[in-house]
Amino acid sequence: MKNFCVNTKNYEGKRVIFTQAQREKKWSKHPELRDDEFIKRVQGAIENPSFIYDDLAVKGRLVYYRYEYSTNGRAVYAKVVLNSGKTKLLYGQDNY
Amino acid sequence: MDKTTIKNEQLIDAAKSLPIVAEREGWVLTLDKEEGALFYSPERISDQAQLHQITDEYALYLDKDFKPQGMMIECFEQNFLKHHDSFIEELSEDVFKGKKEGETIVADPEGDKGKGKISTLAKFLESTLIKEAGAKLG
Repeated sequence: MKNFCVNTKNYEGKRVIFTQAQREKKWSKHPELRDDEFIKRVQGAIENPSFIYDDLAVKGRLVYYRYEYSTNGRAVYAKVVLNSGKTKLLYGQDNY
Repeated sequence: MDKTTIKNEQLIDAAKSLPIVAEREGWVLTLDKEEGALFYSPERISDQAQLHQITDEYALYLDKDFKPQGMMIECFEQNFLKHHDSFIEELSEDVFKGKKEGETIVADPEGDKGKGKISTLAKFLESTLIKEAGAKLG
């Protein structure tokens, strides 16, 4: 489906979507979202997160992190924020 | 960006260079109330930029030469403003007032000719970034 750049299930089997419109809405300030390779990492974080936190910014949202590698003691994660009933992906970003 | 060793000095120098880059390139303050994040950056951050967490609160988008491409503070209203002087919270409210939840609000320091509330907030962010980067990474 062209309207979705991510349409998958999370680790609990619950459907998670990231619309292309939402991706484009966010990518002026999140340049990694313009990269299709990063979208694959977003999907990986949803399907197989390393850990999940409640979002400090907004009650009821969840933040998925997937550990990727470390360089010079700095861990690198793909970070994904889920909105709206915890199934709609708000944005994703690299976290160095 | 190649995954080579990133030295703390490079990140500190990037923080120190930010005010000059921001002024030269006309960065704006953007509050994304949907995300709860504040960006101090060009309207569109470069494709070449990668995000580096500098302190617990400040993250910088840097290019391969560690030139700043933007600053981001996650949890700006919920966390950052609570950790700083109430003057800054009041200043932020004035800069971004009158907007509804879910909106993205842009404030251009050029709009107040470098002397008003928007510029004051931008300069506060620049100075605390440099100070906190030095304390954390120095």
